[in-house]
Amino acid sequence: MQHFVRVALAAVLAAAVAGGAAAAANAPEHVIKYRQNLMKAVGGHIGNVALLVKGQVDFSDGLVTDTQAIVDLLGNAGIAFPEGTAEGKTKARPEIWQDRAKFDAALEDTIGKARALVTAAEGGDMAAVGAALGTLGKSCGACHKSFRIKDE
Amino acid sequence: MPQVIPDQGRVVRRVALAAATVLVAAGAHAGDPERGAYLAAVAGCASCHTDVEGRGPPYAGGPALKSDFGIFRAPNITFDPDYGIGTWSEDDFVRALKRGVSPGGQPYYPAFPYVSYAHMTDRDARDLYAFFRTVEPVPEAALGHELAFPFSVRLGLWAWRLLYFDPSDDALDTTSHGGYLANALAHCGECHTPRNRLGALRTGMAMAGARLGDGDVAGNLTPDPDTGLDWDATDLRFFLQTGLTPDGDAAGGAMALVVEHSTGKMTPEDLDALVAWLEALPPVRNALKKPSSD
Repeated sequence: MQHFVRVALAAVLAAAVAGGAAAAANAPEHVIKYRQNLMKAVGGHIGNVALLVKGQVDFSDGLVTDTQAIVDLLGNAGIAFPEGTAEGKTKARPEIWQDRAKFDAALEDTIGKARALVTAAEGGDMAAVGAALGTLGKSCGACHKSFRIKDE
Repeated sequence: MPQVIPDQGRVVRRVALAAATVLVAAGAHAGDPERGAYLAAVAGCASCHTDVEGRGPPYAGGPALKSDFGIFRAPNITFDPDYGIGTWSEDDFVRALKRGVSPGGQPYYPAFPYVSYAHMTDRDARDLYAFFRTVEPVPEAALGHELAFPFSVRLGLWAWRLLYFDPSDDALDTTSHGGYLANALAHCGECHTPRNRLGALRTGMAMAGARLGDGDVAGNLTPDPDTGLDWDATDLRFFLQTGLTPDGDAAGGAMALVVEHSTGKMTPEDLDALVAWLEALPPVRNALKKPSSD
């Protein structure tokens, strides 16, 4: 009997936690945090590729991993900007949702440039990696210019 | 007959001499359009005079530049005689660029960076003129400024000039090539040097960063440990080429335009000179950025 009560209680608790979590998932502030973490992570990998390109480190064994991570993470970026997340502690500009097709195209362009960076990294020619990184950086900057609020 | 030949020869020689004199005279003034094209890139003319986002034709008028005084829009500087600068002589152009006065004697708003261009060499100014003569003329009027009173009254600009415009002022270093690029040609200081309430550059705080009219921040480029830039020469050079910071962030805002149109096109020599000059800046404490969450 005592055992039964325990099991039942545990089940109720688990349901409450799961239900609570389901209700709270994708709250705007958490979506905003998610995409900020995502962008920071992308930046981390780009920064590490840049350290190699600049010759400030020579850990070329890690290069392909970093470049592939950029592609993978940017693949998650599309879901990180759902409707209803324009307000709050975010630098995302309302134009993302006003002109979604343009935003999606800009993101797709950046992912294409990131794929080219992977190819260059796999080829192993650092000059080509540097050029591909420069091209990727331009694409990042173009998107930031159109869709990211400037510093305050 | 035999007597005529020397005469002819003399005539030919005279004509040749006259032609050579004309050529030499022209050579003294004729700018180099190819060099001018590069200088136009370094000066970033397109950032203000071309509406890139609106897909406007090159140099036919720029997008809105928000400031504390209202909205500025850079005019059509193609050589269209009606809507551009097609009737300007080289002297008109040099005077507009380096003195901020139109051929008709009207003073420009210092949103046009003539305070920086005042330190431009005549050779560079003439090469720019030669380049702009090769740009496709666009017979379209650019949109004008939208300024709040009293800034809408151009007459006030004469007073401003009396107070703040001294072309012989050498408070900003333009003697080294890097300083010339930063303070004159590429006019970095127009955004990165703070201004007083009337929009005059505070030359004692060169490149110490400023808040811009559109809410953007032009960072403190001096090596102040708390508020400045701690990038080394390699980082600076790489950023000016690609717009990528050591954190892997890509510059947005006005700096994205600067990288795209100006610093990203600089020759290695110019980049090196600019970076060396920036590296040697004295540290100036000037906090601008609130700590931000992302």
